[in-house]
Amino acid sequence: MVTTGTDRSRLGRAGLVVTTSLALAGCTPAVDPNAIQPLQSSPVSSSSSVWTALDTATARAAEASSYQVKVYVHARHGATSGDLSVHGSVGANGAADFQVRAGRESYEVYRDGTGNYYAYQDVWHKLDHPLDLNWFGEYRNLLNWAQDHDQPLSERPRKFVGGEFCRVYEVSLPATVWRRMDSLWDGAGTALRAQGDTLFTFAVGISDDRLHQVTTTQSIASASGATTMTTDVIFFNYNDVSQVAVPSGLPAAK
Amino acid sequence: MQHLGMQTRSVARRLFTHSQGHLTRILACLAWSLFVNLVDEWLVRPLVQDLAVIGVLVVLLMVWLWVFAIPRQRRRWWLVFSLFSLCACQALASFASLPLGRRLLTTAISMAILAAAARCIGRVALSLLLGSMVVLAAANAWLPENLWPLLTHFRVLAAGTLTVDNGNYPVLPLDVVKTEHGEVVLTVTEWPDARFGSSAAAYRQAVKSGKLPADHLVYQYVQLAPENGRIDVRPATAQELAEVQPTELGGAFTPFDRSTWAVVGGRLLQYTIRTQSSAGAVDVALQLAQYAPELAQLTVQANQDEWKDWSESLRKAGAAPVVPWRIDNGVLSGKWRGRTVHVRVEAQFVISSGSFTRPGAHELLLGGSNLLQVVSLSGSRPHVVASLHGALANPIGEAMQVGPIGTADKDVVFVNASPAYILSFTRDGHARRIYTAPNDDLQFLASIRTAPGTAPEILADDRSAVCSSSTTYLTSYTYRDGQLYRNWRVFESGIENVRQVQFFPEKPPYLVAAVAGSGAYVVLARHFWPLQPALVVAWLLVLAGFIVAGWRQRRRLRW
Repeated sequence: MVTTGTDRSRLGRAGLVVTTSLALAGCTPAVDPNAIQPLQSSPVSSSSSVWTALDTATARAAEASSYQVKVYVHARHGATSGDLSVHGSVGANGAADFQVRAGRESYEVYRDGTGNYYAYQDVWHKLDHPLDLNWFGEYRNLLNWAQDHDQPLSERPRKFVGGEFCRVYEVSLPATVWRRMDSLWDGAGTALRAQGDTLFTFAVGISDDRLHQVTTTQSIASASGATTMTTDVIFFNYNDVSQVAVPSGLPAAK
Repeated sequence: MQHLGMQTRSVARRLFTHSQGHLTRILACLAWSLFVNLVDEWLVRPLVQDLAVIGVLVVLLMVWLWVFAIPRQRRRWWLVFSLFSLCACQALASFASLPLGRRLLTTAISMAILAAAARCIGRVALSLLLGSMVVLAAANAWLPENLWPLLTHFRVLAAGTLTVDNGNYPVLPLDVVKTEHGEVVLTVTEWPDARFGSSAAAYRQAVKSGKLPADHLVYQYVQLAPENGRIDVRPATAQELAEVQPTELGGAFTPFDRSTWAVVGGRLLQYTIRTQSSAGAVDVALQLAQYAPELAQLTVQANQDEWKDWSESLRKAGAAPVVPWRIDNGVLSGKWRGRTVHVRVEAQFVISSGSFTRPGAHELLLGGSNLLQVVSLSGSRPHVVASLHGALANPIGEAMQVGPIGTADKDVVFVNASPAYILSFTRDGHARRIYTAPNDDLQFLASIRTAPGTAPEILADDRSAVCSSSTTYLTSYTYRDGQLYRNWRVFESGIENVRQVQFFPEKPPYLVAAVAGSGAYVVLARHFWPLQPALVVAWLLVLAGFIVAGWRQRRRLRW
């Protein structure tokens, strides 16, 4: 192995390049070129038309004979976190079936004309009270309250969610809204102060004018610290769900 | 041919050591098997992980220079022996988590295969292979291979793994408490555990007597504390536990699960229960439009119940919770310099004490729902000096670290949101965002001042500067004029829960940290020996040695 003069100078140059690149990299934290830009919300041009659009969207969604829903809830408290997920269909025949995962437990919930049932560890039980699935009506009440109280309203960039391109609106609601709306909920002052304001976003389909997504973000405080809770509810396949079948194993319990 | 073999053997002999002894030669070989592993851990991997393709090119250059520096006749031997050392070390490290029986079996099989390959391909002496295995196994037993990267900047005083379920504890919780002998670190491990004097029989007995439910994971509290100059793990006492917030060590996920406690044999044991019946959970889960109030209510209720259970169980174990500061119905109360203090606040919990608005001030940082408040304790009448409401879309109040940032004795708040940022309070009580991370992966761990009056080292988990991967590594930064500048980086990912702890009053504070996903912990002390540069120099010397040896051999062959 005899190294010639040109070889040596080439090596030297390569070494120089390497040393320079070593010195350049890693001085300050890296900029992530793929980082998602924070969603900037912009004021709406006419809030009354937006309130009307949101009202129509909830009303039209409530009129749908069938749809599917998926829900992700994430609560984060320091290093620990808790999750809730729901996947389900409301069928044209009035039956509904949901897979629920709350914490570490899984349930299946089924409703039809004969009653409301849930399965835990493959054993079916009857729920002693009817399930209230009037979500769109409740969202509508919330929005009406927000409109009556002139809650700040803004618009976010459009997005594709629930199978539709949607306009996204952002509304913040104070904790007091719940006290007024639900007299049964006696959370008292501490829970209200703990809950703080909740930021809602509503996504309305551009072509079908239906509600496709509702998200919330809130911070819950207690003596042991703060919990950040985000919820994401997506409605899709409006009027496109065939009959919801009776889960296997249920007839025995009926 | 035979002549040539003799020649190279004598060259190799000269190359290892100056003495001709067989023993020294073997020792040099064993040192080499450690050395290549250190080069791998401290030079090769950092280059590749930090500099991506540039790093790979540098490594290729390193390998190329080395391979061609070895005299040709000995090249195969050196390559095979080095590769054997690298593979053996990796194998030994990756089997470390297996139970003893399977571990011995898999280790024996893999070592046999590796040794057979090395013997056949490289004609490496069996005694050497065996010696190398023993040395590497000993090194792994002293400190698992996956923690070696830490050695460039820390002395590892203790390392170990506690048995926890990854679902309950993705990261081992670590909480520092003061005792009369100094500080100790509290954490958890599964119960029963023979290491801490409890047996399966005790568990069966506790279940039978109704103290514990069957089929639940049960955790006990242990402490990392100094004993005879070493850091040891032993059961924690109720008095030490009285100092902590139960949620700091809890492994339950609100809002559907919470922790509760039982006292068995005078020891506090923790397990998880559901907050809701099945029907109740189903009910809440299907109230989509009511999540905001319902889940908030569940969370607050779970925390209140936890606190009640905790206080009762502590009392049963013979201690009462020690709460220096508490907030009840909007009033912060506690004792400051012997005086009882009441301050009306909006916040709900105490995050930390420190000097937030001015150097040397005695202040408390409080948190609430999307809220931070600073209460000044000095002066005639303690009062709120700063309040900050966060953005609704990115709430504040959770996942924060407090520590110094400059040379002054003033603390800032490191908020681990995405992206993370640093908040500083001004003298007139305004909060200012003095730094925002340019990527979502950067998370602050701690800010530690190694010597008084110097700028602190801000420890963070941060991604590589060049690689597009979101793997983060333990990094030290210094803050200067609105920017973070890197001091060093240790290519160890998953280091979390970094806490500063004063185990020995007369020594500088140590760091304890948990390794995510494994139940492992490490106790570290910062050192300032330039180990990495030393390794580079050693590498260059080795390279020079090979080149000189090759040159001398060539000269002899020419004669």
